[in-house]
Amino acid sequence: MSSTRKSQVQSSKVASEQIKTQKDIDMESDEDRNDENRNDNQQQSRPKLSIQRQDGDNTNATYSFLNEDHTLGNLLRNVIIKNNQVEFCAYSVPHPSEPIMNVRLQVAPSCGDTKKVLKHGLKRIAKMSDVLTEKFQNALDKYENRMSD
Amino acid sequence: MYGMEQINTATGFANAKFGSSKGQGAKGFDEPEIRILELSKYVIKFELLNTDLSVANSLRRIIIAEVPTMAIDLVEVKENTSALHDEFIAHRLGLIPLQSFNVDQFNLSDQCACSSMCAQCSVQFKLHAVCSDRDQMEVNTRHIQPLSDAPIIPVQYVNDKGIEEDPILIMKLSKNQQLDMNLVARKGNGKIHAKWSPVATCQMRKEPIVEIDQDKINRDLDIEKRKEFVALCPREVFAFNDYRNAVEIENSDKCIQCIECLRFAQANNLERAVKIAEREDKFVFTVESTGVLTPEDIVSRALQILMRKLYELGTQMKKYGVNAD
Repeated sequence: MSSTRKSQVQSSKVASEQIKTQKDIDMESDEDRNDENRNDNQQQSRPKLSIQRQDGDNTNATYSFLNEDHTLGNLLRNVIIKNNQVEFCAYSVPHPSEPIMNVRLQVAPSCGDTKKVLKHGLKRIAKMSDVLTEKFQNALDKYENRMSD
Repeated sequence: MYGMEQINTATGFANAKFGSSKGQGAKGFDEPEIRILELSKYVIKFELLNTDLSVANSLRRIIIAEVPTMAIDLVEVKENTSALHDEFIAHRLGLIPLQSFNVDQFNLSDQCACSSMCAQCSVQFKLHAVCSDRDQMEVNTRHIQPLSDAPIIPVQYVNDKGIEEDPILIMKLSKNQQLDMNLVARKGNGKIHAKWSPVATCQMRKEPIVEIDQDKINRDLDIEKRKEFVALCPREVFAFNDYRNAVEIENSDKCIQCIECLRFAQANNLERAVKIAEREDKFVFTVESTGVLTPEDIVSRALQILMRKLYELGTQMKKYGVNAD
């Protein structure tokens, strides 16, 4: 009981990942370590949104969202699909442990550009969440007034 | 509304509300409505109307997994002579809800400017308990002592009458056992680990619709059968009115779409007399907080997180030089 025993216990995924990187650095050669650092840097500078599309064809594209999942994917798909100029829109999360969400978008040639449609969709959700926030606050005030009367 | 949705022949997808011009407000979509049904210290119930399932589901997912809170994340064990091993206790400590009303003043530890830990991204506690004079002692959340004046402390539950309930039990010590630990709480969200989730329950459901043709049921069925019909519903949606000897709808809200009533109607050649369905544009939310935040705060924070998410994506879109105004 006299000697102080020290051990650290971490209880989350992030923490355990930190431990893992420490271990990795201890075990691996310098070359590997550099490689890992480079990957980390790439991870940090990776854009929140990136496009994959064929050159010269603006009517279809696949957008990759970083750190997004079904929360935004399903919402975005459902808003975009309601646009009459959209020929196809679907989303997927390729792997549950990767923080990537893809949206495939194809629009009619008359529309011209998928960017427009995507931006329009995002704007619409933004407006709606704006309205919802306001409505919730109003509903709360109303409820409190009713209770205090 | 969804019964008559338009199908876009080119895509095969439903092209209802948003695409058609009818029923749209000035903002390009049906004006959503929110009505609060119940609000108490730990639970909020509200209705969300005129929105799509995807909107309601996004809100639900954000409430569960993206509203940040504080939780114990790092445990340094200096002394543990109890019967339970270190990891087991650390796990239990992690799951203790901490009051997170001031969570906004903290940074996520991986986004903080400091190298490992600082007052901006962590809160330190001490847990020291010795059982020296009794046969057995309980270690509870009152033994967790904050080492700073940050307003992050374990949740103290209060019952309906405003009386404090017993603190959360962490473990028990028997004679001459002791526990000495340093605890570090950090900010996080439910995506990383469920201990950071601010809610115990966050469920949403569509409002049920129950319709019966009273004339037909009360004419075509004898009284015994009518009573049988009322009794077969496990949720007591129907009631038998003794004065009129008639079947009535008592509480359609309780219906869970088990279709027992439809089967009975079918068996008695009354197919059209009973109808059950769900409203597609009305969602009833029940959000029960773990005590870390007030329930109304959880919902408004969730809505703000959705707004911020879209704001970030909007600025990202600007980088591509798109203007869709």
